[in-house]
Amino acid sequence: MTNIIEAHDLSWHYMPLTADGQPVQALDHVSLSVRQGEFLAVTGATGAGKSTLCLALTGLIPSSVDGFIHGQVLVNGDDTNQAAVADIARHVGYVQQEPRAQLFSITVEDEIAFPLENMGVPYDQMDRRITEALNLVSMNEFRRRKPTALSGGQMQRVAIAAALVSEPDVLILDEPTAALDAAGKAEVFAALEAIRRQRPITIVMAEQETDWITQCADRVIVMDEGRIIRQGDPALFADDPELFISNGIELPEACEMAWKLNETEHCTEGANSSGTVDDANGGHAYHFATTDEALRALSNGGLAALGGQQVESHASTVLSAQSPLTSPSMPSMSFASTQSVQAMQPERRDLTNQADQPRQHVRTGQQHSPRRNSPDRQLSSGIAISHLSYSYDDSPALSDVSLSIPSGMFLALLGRNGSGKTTLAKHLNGLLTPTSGSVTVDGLDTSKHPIGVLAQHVSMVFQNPDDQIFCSSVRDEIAFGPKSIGYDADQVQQLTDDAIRQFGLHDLSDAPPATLGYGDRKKVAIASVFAMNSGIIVLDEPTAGLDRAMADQLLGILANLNAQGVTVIIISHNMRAVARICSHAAVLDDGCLLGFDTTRDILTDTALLSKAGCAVPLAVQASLALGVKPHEAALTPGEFAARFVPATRVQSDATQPNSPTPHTGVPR
Amino acid sequence: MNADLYVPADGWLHRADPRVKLALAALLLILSLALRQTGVIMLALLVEHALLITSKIPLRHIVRIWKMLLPLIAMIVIMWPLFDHTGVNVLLSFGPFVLTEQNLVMAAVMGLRVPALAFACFVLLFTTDQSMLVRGLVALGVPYRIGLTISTSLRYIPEFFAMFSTISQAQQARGLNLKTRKTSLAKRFRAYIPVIIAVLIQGFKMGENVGRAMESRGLGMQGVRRSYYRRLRMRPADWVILVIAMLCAAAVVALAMAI
Repeated sequence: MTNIIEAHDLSWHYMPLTADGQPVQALDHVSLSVRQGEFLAVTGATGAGKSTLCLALTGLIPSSVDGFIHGQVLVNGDDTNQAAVADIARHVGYVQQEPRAQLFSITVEDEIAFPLENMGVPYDQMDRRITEALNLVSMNEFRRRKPTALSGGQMQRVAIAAALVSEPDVLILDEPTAALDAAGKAEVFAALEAIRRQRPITIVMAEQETDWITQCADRVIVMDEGRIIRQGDPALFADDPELFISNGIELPEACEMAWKLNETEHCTEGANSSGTVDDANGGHAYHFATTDEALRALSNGGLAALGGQQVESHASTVLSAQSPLTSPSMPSMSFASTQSVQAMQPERRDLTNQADQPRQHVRTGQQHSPRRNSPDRQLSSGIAISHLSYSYDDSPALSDVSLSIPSGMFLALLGRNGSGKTTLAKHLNGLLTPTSGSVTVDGLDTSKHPIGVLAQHVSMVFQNPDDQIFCSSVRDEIAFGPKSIGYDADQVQQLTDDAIRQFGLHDLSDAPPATLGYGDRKKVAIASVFAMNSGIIVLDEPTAGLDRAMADQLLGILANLNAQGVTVIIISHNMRAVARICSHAAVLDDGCLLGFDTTRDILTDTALLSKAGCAVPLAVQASLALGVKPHEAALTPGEFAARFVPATRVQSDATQPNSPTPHTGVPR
Repeated sequence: MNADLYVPADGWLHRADPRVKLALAALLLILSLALRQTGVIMLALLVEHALLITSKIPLRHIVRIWKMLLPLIAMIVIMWPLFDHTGVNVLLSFGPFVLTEQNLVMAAVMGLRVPALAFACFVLLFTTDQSMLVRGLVALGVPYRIGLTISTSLRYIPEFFAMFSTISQAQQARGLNLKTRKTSLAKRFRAYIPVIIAVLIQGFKMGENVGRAMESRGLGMQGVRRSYYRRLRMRPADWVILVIAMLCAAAVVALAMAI
């Protein structure tokens, strides 16, 4: 097996972002070889250098991107320093993250024909090759369609076909599923599997979706700050979860579950023995490489001490929340935040004094600067959506949706792309007004008040941070919101300072936001809406494109806000995040509201989630497989471990509740 | 939101060779620009609409263009009597604004010249998709790169509109007030500046990505003669259209000269 790609001591610096800045190092002495036919996955936190590495393998770096290169990359024998991108493109296909930028033709057919035209392929061969390429991704019946009229998954499949039509030896994909919903992601990965079965091709894919990587990849490399810090096969996720956690990379669900179970067991053991963690197992007790393996092990009573016996829930750390429809009081379950960037730490915790929270005025950030006097955040009195229907021109987007969102709820809007989530969200601040029905926010009918007034009550962050960013400094950007809705200069200053502090943007406060990396831009966008000090905040896919550490940091800030009584509404495909943090969930499908209940009730309703195209978190699946009743199911791996790892392994600790289940030995 | 320029339909003009349509559009443009006679402008407008309607372009697209042009037309018609004071029968007069029978007609003609020019372009753009447009341009000798630049720009115009709309909404959600009707045009423009800047930034980044996508698919490969997927063939009907168009244009010019 030859090496089809070789990188020797590759370093890359981007041109400075500002006139007086320094070149930005993105790759740091990277040496890599990829064997022919291999599927290599590149993982790493946001900004680790994954995209840059992909660009370097296509030749776009150094030819088309401004910067400084050291070292060498050989792709199929071509030296990227010397060969033109177009010549390298004969053997290398490239798929970007964003579908709209890489589909620039008027029909799917023309898109696939473009590379063939560039190569001078004779006309009479074109049709056949276009058909072949489209069949590889099962998109042949969409030949005549406009690419932008397709769904996300379909668009990316067309992009893959366009990259493959030149019959390259290598396919480079840069986070191709980042912008897609669960169905779209599945489509893309299925297409890649099908392609590998039919063609001998080498694939290099940068990806955050580690669950999928474990199923497809032959080898995984982990990047951090431009360096490759580890390589191995996908078993690496299960063998060394700490590596990924400390780098902020999201573990596959099964591996996170195993890690949490191990962690809980070691803690339990450690609590008993004399200060040293007595690891009687001589290593990890739980080791799940795939979700199926995890489910099988867990449902067969693979937990220490379960040994096939009835599960008994130990002291529940979770109180069940009341249904929002019957009681306006805030659910007593909330998510405790972590202010520091610690990956994988957040746990569901019970804040029993939540119910007594003051309903009106709450000071923000009081624990850090007692003398600061930020304007009080006015809490919401609730949102009432009544028989809301909305149609774009002639196509209905929402049909008769009714729900009532009381103050202080942390609501997730779930559903496929196109199910109406964003449309519903846009009704909350008056960007859209109902075709029929009504939306009332804090007593204001959204159809009767201008957006400017409603923005004082509801602030909204769109998915793409670049939809908002226009100022020349982060500080100005964050100050823009509060200024626009009418706070005076002093208040704007305080709100801005508070937001900068909360989001850890102090070092970047004078930098132009447009020059920052994606994760920081996202933070700035959310911070600038946070500073608007409203009682309701709506976020569209706040964690999309972010690594686990950054996602947790942002969610922590949101949870903190929510704990102070702010209503937080997120649209999200990230079911694991929703399970960790939201109190309630509303599920939309094809414009209709399928369900609206506590997170626990929604996530355990597997039939509902399946209908709406949402994934069921592993912890829920495992709980249900154990025969636990839905209202006692665990929603997150941490909860699952805390609940179902029995205390029986602790021999004589009197504070532990008694459990009748005897210790039957550790499964291997 | 569908702001595409190309309107798919099963019309005769759609089927015509893009080179013929380019010639047609060029003739209409030149006539409308070079000649001032009322009759010429009206004829141009009439012909353009006839071409579009007979080629099954739904009326709403035509109406949409008129709606967009109305402010510009109104502005020209109103401002014309400020600068052109010819004419004998004065109808209205205050200050520099002198409206006479004659310059009222002229004002109307000048105003109508705008849609005449616009629809000359749309005769081409509504009926020709961007691939055929490039193909036509290249067949006429335009270098491929320029043809690609033109057609890709056209392709991304609706993308820009969509971007503008999304960004407007995102900014309004932060409290940006875009709906002030009572303030001056300058103030309203300034209110849009945050949106415009964000659009430019996003547009620039998208442009970079489009360029990279094109390069990574082999654009500009050396030592290769570029081939084309879309075929061009002048049918007899195309020749007929071309000849009739040129004859009509010649006739109009002759008549205009004579009058």
